[in-house]
Amino acid sequence: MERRSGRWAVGTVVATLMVLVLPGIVLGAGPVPAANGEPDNDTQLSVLTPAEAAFVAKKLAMAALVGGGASARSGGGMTPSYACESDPCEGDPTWPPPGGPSPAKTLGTKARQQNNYYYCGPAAGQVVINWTRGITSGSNAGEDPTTNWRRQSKIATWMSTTTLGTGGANLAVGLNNPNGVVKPSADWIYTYADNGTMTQLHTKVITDIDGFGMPLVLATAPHVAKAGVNYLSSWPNEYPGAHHWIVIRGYDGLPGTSSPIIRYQDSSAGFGGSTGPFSDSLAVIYQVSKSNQGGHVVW
Amino acid sequence: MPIAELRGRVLRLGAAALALSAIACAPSISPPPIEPTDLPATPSSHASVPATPRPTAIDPSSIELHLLDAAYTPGGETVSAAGQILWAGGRDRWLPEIWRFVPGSPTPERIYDSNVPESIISSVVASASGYAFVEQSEPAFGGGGWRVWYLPGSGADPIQLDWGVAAEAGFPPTIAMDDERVVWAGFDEPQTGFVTRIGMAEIADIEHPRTLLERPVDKSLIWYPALEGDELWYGTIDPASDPAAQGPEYTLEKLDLSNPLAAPAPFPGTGHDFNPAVNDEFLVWKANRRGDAALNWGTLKILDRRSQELRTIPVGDANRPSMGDRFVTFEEITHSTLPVYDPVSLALANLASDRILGRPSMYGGESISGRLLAFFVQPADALAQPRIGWAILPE
Repeated sequence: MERRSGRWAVGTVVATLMVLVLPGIVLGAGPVPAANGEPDNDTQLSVLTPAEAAFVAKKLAMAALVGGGASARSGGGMTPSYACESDPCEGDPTWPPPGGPSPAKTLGTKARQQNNYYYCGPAAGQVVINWTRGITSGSNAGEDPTTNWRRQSKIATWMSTTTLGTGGANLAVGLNNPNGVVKPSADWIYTYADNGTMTQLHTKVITDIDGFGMPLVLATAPHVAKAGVNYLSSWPNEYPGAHHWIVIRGYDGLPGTSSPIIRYQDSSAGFGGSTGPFSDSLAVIYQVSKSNQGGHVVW
Repeated sequence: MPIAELRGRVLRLGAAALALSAIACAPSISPPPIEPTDLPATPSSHASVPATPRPTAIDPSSIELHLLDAAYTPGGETVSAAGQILWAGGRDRWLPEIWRFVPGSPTPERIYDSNVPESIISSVVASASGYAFVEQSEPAFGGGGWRVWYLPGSGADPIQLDWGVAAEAGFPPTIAMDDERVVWAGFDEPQTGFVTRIGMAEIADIEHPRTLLERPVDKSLIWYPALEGDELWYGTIDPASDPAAQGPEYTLEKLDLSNPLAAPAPFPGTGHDFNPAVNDEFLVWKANRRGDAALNWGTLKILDRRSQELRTIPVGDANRPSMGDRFVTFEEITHSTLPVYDPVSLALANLASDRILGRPSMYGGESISGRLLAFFVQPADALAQPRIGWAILPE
């Protein structure tokens, strides 16, 4: 078991009991920092093979069609804003459907408690991997092999997680591990990318969730001081300097609609935030990510 | 280790602890239908009140919104209390200062500046009897360390009411205050076992705070106290409930402060109830969907304590309700509205106006006491710091 594993917290059960069962470990742990799961200056995006780049280009083309539906295909919708020079930019001919993407969709992912202050990346990855592997247990314990596809600590090794956290490109590598996610298509790959504009982040979310049934992992500064409305609901108090990964699992509202909502899961109970399912407006989600090193997503 | 609930023991905190020591407007929204309720009668301090004529719905265009100078940036929430607007502020990323603005005064006033390093004042409340606040500082209090302070007035020395460590919980206490009492709900992690507790200090006996309720954290996680006379309401999460799939249940409870030996009275709500706000006529709380975390957005329920009519405020995703003399306000998930709900006329009005900043805006930190509405507003299309706003609502 990881040191300080099993935090008790709002919305958690197993974590609570683990702490109480192992007070010696917990009490000897010393000060507990806020979740800080991503290194500073984590701006090195995924380095892609030509095949992977082609898949990303395909997804970007699909994302560019979001909001325009079938009409976009005929030239009447949103103008693609991504560079596109080859066949992959034709996208997936089956999505979005003629009527456009689903106006709202949320994946049935199950939250997991991060083992320690720097394990939000592995915890987020565990949620994603469990989802693709059909793991439906509501237990949020990250080290229980009976309720997870792989232990959180194992996923951390795939992601090269250190006490500095998990870099976005490494997080993507961990998800892409052969024992990681079940790919929805043969060419599927998770990559660490810039969010782009708010609309571009929104269309990435819609493409992955509605087009592929896959969650995303977003880098955030969950609650900086003087943020106003721009903080995660799962982090009601200020924690200056925290970098934090969350799982984006759903959306409600397409581009052009009033105040779209993003559904996510947090893992950070005991480290400044909470563990469980939460929602916030797209505008807030975009800003808390932008506040974190410019805004990046694993999608 | 298991700790028996300490209800009724009314512990005095040790001396050692102390030593450690409108503009454009949206149309009003039609009221929702009355919901049938199976909720039991909730005691009210006004058992029999003659019917009064229903007031007319608020006219948003009649409400004047004011903004403070942009130099005054709220570090966290804005709080309306005792005729003033309060917020924590400060330099860089820390929040060691408490500020207030009294409508009618020329400028805001800093009433406290903590000398504690890396101080974050996470909550501040007030009444006619002074102020109370919660402070965190890792260098001074240790990781997860917190203090609850009473501040008699601007420039006065604070009096420590309680202290603890919530390193594992990760959350500082939440707090409430009226003219007679300060109460707080939080977490502490002594070697004898981790607990959640409610503390109280009476203003007339401020040097002798007491613990009203203490439970092990595997039984209860207590948040968000709310005072109304001798009633103390709060939300409690049962970590052991529904462990299989959908997450724990959370409910409201009430303590009778006139009978501190009595057991807490559970409030039979939906099983996913949190964030109470109360006055002598109405109880408002947030009811979430099963499976949602307690801190997530939910639906606001409002109970008329005399008629026992239960209604739903017609906003899909709301949080942190606050109640004044007549109106209820709250945050809503899109932050695109500045909502006030009148539980008597049953009208929901949106006071938001893009004219306040001259561009599309987002609103948060809504808080009411008496007739004073406090909030902050910031541009919707840019990463910019919030500005503090306020309005005087009709009687």
